[in-house]
Amino acid sequence: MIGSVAPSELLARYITASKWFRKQDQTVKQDAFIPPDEPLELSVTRHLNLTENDIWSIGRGVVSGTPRTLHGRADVETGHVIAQKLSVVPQPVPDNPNHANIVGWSLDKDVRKMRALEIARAARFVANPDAGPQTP
Amino acid sequence: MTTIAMPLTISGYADETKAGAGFVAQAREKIFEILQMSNALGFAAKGTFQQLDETFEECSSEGWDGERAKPISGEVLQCAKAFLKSFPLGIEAPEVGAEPDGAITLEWYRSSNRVISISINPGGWLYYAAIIGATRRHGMDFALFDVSEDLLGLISQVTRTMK
Repeated sequence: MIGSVAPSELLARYITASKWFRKQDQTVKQDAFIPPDEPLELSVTRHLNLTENDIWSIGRGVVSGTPRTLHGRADVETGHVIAQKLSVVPQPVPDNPNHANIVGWSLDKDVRKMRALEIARAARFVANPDAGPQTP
Repeated sequence: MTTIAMPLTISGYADETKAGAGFVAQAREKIFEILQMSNALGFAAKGTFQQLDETFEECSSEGWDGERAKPISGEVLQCAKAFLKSFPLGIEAPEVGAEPDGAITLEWYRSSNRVISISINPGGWLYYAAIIGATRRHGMDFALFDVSEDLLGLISQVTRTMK
């Protein structure tokens, strides 16, 4: 169902900064899960009904027209996000019907950091196969 | 781990000794710079300040993440440098990063169970979060003050060698 996000659904957060993951052990840093301000919403893409190719294609769209590199993505189960007292709200956009936002962030930055640290801990980094070697 | 504390401010001098105090402060600053260049002691030789400059360059434009990221400002860069200069010498160098809200991050990491991340935000505010085993700690401070004993303790708990 597209209207609600099940706790077992996988979400992808695109890694568009080289400093958002640790090259030495291919893990994700909390930096990738800190939402920008105004509004405090973090963009993710639901895996729902998408193939691997579809997921990477959407990611390439995120960085197209910018000097950024798509280094990979961080996959995390929605349940880990909900466990941090956050919600996942579907927010389809023209290029990405699976787009969603993680919302419900605290106004206190240190609390947001704690939540992001826990989510990053549960996330799995998947390197972009087209990005070349991601070694230290 | 051996650390060397060098306070950034010199106080307690009477007016008539201001010139002397100035000389001592200059000499102290010079010694500090030399020690910073020591591989074993300083963040400068470990490349941390260079990493800060590179991060600033990479993330100083609007939408640097391909989405809505705020640019890192020169003010945040200077706050991060001032904050790191307040550390005692001999502390392990952090990994520098950036957050989409315009903050610079300093991370000390051993594993997903031993990690501390400190954000230097616009306005000079500093926020931290740490996971050390079953312990969770988060809070805030002011980046233009010297690093607190509490934060140094958390960093030490993350980086110390387990026996």
